[in-house]
Order: sequence, then structure tokens, then C-alpha cells
Amino acid sequence: MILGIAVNLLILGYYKYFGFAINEILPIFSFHINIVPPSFPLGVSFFTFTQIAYLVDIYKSDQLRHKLLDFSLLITFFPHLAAGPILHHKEMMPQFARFHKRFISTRNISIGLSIFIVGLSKKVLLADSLGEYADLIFDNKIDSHDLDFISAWSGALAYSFQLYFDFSGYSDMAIGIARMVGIHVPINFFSPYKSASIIEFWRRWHISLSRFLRMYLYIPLGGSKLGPTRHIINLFLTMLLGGIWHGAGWTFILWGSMHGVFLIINHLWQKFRTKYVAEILPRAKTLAWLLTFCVVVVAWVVFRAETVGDSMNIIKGMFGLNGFYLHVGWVERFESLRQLCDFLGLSTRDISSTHGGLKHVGLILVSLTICLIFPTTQQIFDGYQCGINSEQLKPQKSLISVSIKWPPNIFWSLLMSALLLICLSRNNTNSEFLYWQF
Amino acid sequence: MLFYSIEFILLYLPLVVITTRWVASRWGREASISLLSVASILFYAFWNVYDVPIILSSMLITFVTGIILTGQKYRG
Repeated sequence: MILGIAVNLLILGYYKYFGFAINEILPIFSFHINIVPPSFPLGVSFFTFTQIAYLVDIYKSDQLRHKLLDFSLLITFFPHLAAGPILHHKEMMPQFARFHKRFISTRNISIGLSIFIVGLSKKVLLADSLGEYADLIFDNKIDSHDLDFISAWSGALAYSFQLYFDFSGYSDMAIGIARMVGIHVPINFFSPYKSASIIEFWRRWHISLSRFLRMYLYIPLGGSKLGPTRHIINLFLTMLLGGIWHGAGWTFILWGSMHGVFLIINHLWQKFRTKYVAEILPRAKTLAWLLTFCVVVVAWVVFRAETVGDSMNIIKGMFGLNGFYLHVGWVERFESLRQLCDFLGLSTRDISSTHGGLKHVGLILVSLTICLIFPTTQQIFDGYQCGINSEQLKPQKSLISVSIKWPPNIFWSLLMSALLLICLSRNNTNSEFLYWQF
Repeated sequence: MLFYSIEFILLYLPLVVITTRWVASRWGREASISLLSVASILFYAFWNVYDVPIILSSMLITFVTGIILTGQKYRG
């Protein structure tokens, strides 16, 4: 088993980390080699994880006997191939074994197509529009030294929502496509930005990755069962490796470590709270949500930035260390704001024609509303079993929520066709899925 | 070929769904699983042909390791 996993990790390691090792690690030991790093194959991170899970499980129990045919579909199945969800053989193999022409029914095709279109709209209509703004600050089109409070936050939020809609849109599309041939794949997102703690966030964000890391890394390391110190170390290691999995680079190492530390604080706070202050302190859910959301957004800045230095500049701006300015467009649009600005001593400026402007902030507000109030794709398709793990994901009560339910009727089919047409017409072949690079 | 590209939505996807259905009703399970696998590898090749040997060899190594592992278990 060790050999098999080693081969898998070696392939992953070679393609993902070779370039990083030559360019970043060796110079530390004052070595310099000029080798062009290999470009890594699409989806290599995802299929190696599926394979590692398969090998570990086969080692632990000899119950698994699969045919090469089914196994090859498990690895190459095209909806998940490029960017997950990370498939697990225990969920997929029984479905492949039962595969029958009845799997491809009008019912499954219409459900699948609708889920696909929901995902497509998230990607084309929301993520791509947000991406234009996120790229402005992260690709150094605006000098990051110069970012004030509002521009830094609007850039960071634009990226946070772009990443969410992009990746959850992709996952929805994968679920929909698989469903069209009658196969259920796991749900990958469950309104992560509604989370009121980091622990909850990781149960809602990239669920298939969190599950893999928990089952094949955190629990084998001993989980929380080997005393408090080991618990903390295990949490940290798991998140650090989770960070490195996303790519070779200091920013990913830092991002993983940040989430490791957040998780540790979260666990310690939970223990402290139940032990000492549970009775005195009221549950401040809104505050907890706000704190969680803010640290997640700050961590995304590190995740997205080209270098650690860039991310620090943006975070400095987010903490208000580069001053507060209002985009000039706001004052031009709303005259009354000018007096308010004068009163507050807030000056206006124009660092870029669009960044931080009306359209940008409006888009962020729309995204926030969708993330907080709207149901998840799985809830919309409640009753039609959207993904294989939909039973485990229980909807949570929130302050305000809109209930949207999909039934196969004329209204929905017209709506879906309209969305599909809009998406196809806005087709932008220059944009890619963000998660393809991981 | 991206999920939201026109050739995927209007050509590849309907073609795969329809042929799989047809193959499934005519030749049954194994043929349809093979068809889906081949379609998936084609999809992968559209992205980068040179990566196809990598995913296939990685897959075969893993599968053979799996067989060796279960074989060992049965003997022991």
C-alpha cells in the first residue's frame, strides 16, 4: 500500500511542487538550477486523492473487489475530472455496478439539466462579473500599496464571492452533468458564507476535500483522541497540508496555516466557553458570523495574492492603515453624500475608473444577499435528491431566508431556458474555472 | 473544452447522454460504462492530449497495487 500511495504522491508531487522546489526552496540553501518545471496535468490533485482513498480502503478491508472498467470510470468520470468534487469509491462503485438504461430518464435529464443551468448562471453571470473587479487589485493593475480601506475590502470581497460562485457553480454543473446520466455525485458546497464559526465553515466549503482530509489525514494522525496538544498539532497539520494541496507557494502555506490557527482558536474557544462562560455569555450569532466571515475574507486575500508581500499590502488597507477614501463616482451620483463626506472628513478619490464604484459595490451587495438569504442548490432541488450526501446536510434556520423550490413545470423550464440562453450569449471563453489551477 | 463552452453544452453533452442511453438499452451495463470512460478520456484529451498517458498510467498503477494488496490479504 505504501508503495502505491507513494507512487501517487510522487506523481502529484512531481507535477505540482517540482517547480516550486527548484525556484523557491533551493535558493534558500543557495542552490540555483535552471530547469523548466513541468506544467501539471488537469485535475491531477483530484484524481490522486480519489486513488489514495481507494488504496487506503483496500488495505484496510479486503471486501473491495472492483473491475478495471468501473475503476477507470471512477477516476476519469468527466464531470468531476477537472475540479472535483473528489469522488469516493464507496459512493460511486455501487452506482456504476447498478448502471442501467433506466438511469438516463427524462426525469433525471430534466433535474440534471436544471442543476447544471443553476451552476452555469452562478459561474457566468456572477463569478465572471465579480472577477473583473477582483483581478484589478490582485493582478497589480492598481498598486496595492495604495489601497485604502474601502478599495481593499471591495477587492477582497469581490474575490471571496468570485471564488465561491465559481467553484460552487462548477460543482453544481458537475452534479447536474452526472445526474443527466443518472449518477449522483457528492454535494460540495452548502452555503459556506452562512457559517458562524470556522469549524462550520469547513463543513460547508469544499465538503469533499474536507471529508478526504478528515478521513485520510486528521483521523489517522489521531484526531482529537491523543490529548489536547496532539489535537492542536493535528488540526494545524491537516490545514497546512490542505493549504499546500491547493498549490505550491508561500501564499498557500500561509493560507493553510492561517486556517489551522483559526481552527485551533475555534476549538479552544468552544472548550473554554462550555467550561466557564456558557451561562453568562449570550450566544451572539450575528457577531460570530461577522467575525468568521471577516477572517475567511482576510485569508482569501492571502490565497489569491501573487506574493505574500502583495497580500500584506492589501490586508494593511483592510485594517484601515492606508486611510479611508470614497470613490468619486458615489459623490457624483448622490449629491447629498458630499455633505456627509465633508462632515466626516472623508475625502474622495479615483484610483481606477471602476474599482470601488457604484457597480462594483452593488455587485458585492447582490452577492452577499444571495449568499446569506438564498437557499443552496441542494435546497432548491429538495425532494429530487440533488447529491449523494444531501441527507446529511440539514438546512439551518437563519434570520431571513427565501424559500425557492424547483418542481418540473412550465414556469421553471421557461426560466431555465432563459438563463441558459443568457449564459450562452454572454459566453466568455477567456475565463477559466479558478479551481482548475489547483 | 469548458463546461460552459457552446461546443460542450450543445454538442458533447447531448451526444454523450444520447449515445449512452442507446448503448445501455442495446448492449447493457458494461458497454455503457466503457462508453462513459472513453468519452471521459476524450474530454480530458480535448484539454491536453499529452496528459492522457499520465492519468492512464497513474490509474493502472493504482489498480494493480490494489489487486496485489487484496491478493496478499487473501494469502495471509
